Amino acid sequence: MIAGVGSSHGADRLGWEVVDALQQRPLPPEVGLYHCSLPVELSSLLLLSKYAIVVDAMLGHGPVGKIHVLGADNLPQARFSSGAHGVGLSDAVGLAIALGFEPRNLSVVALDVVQPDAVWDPEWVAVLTQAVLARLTEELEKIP
Amino acid sequence: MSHTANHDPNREIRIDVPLLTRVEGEGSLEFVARNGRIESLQLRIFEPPRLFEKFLEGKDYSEVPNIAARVCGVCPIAYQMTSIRAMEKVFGMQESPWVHAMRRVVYYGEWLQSHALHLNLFAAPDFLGFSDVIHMAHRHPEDVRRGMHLQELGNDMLRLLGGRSVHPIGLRVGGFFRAPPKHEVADLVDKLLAARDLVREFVAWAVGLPYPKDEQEFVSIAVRHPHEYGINEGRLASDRGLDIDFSEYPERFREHQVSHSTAHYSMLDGSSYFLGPLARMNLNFDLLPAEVQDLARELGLRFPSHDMFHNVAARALECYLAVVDSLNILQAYRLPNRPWIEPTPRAGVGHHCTEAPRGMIYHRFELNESGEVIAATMIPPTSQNQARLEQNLNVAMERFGLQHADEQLRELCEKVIRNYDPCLSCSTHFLKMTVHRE
Repeated sequence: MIAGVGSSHGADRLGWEVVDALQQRPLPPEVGLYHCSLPVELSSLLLLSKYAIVVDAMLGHGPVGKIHVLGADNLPQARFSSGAHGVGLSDAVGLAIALGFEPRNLSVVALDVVQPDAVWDPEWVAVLTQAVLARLTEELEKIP
Repeated sequence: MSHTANHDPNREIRIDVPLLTRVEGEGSLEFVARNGRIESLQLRIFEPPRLFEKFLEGKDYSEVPNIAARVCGVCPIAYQMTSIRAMEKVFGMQESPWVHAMRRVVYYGEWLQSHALHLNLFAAPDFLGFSDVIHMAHRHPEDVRRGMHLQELGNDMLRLLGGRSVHPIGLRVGGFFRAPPKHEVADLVDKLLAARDLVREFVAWAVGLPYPKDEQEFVSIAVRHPHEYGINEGRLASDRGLDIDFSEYPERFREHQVSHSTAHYSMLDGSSYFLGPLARMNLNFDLLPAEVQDLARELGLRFPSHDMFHNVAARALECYLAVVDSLNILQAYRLPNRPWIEPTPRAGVGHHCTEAPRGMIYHRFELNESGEVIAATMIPPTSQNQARLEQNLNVAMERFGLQHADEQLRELCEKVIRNYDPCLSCSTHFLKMTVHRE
């Protein structure tokens, strides 16, 4: 499962845009593509998934455009796009793990936008899409 | 919550919460007590103006629903539906029976996802003594899973008619852009049937949560319809005799500003009032389907109630209503010839109220002869509830007693605020407070 997390606002829509871009690519039929807005939606999706890649914009320390690939154990609290109702990505992942999702089966691929009001760059979508596809390829190669 | 009471109630207490975190919008809480009396208890909302009403000016009526949906990520249907119905009134349109029924279903979807989210993730940890739902999930995984399942079921209902669960795009003036094919409806019916027992368990679980008792005097206001539980259509009613057309709202309800909040306070004839699931139950219990009324009685619930925390039970009972009534509607589903009526724009003013998950919402639209917006007014339930919420806090704190520790006072404030499920307090541990003892 690949889930783009975010909203329609500014740089926060990056995760959705990447999922839109992936919908134009030939992917194995077992790979589901989803847009998530409320992070708690992500918890439900993770519980239905064997392996998950979550795509998001990241408010990191830069530089702008840097790709981060993170696991469940090193998600920085509240460093991603802030979630509705104050529930963020790390909370959504934590809830899924508490309910049985295997944390090693999660990759978070994020692009550092540094500031939530960062000026949108269309190139980010292409760069992040490639990073997600690379991560997906790595995981698919592990499948016997 | 421990009731250890070993502090001097006459001490000076100053609980200053400069920023309410984990909220949608920005707000703070200031609590000051001296000599055993509460001097000040203010919920300050200082979120900047959203300007949606201004954005809508000059827009064609057909653009309004999608813009209105952006006001809130949790209850977009409320904003879409209310604006659509207000504009349909300008155009002199009547809902077709099919559109009326499907509008109930999509609104039920919003209620179910919002109520399940609130009860499961935000309110229950309070009552069960957990810091958040993640900790609660370790001890009560099945309860949390059940709530998440119901929330997702609500999202499925939203997707059926709205096209997507967040900021739906399926609604339009006159009806819906698309009538779901029968196989999609049948799939949802199967899910609803499978969830019927689950939601009954959910209601029983919610009613059994150890929430405090908090009897208060308040005026309940809700949409009341003569033949169905009020959601989209009817008149505005109160338990003190109010019975008015939606167009009379501006004459009876007045907004005013207070210095400590950018959100307007709203008063009915000069007094505060209460909106939301409990207000709806207080006014419309007799219009619930028989099996929903029966479940309430089985669980020992009696409405009307003036126990503020019966808002929890009312909210849960509305989840059952959403499943039961949606099944009643969708099991008799027929494809319409066309899922909308074509509007004929004309100039005028339209008013409408519907029931958002957290209470009644009012919209007024003034359109020109081309159907362009001249002026828009949108009054959400959260601001309408704000005056009552502050009164609720004052009474609850005085009854609880200032002899309790600051932390306990803060916990009670959180429970009271969260009980309204306002957009400014619907998560756990949103209060980061600084306590000054003088």
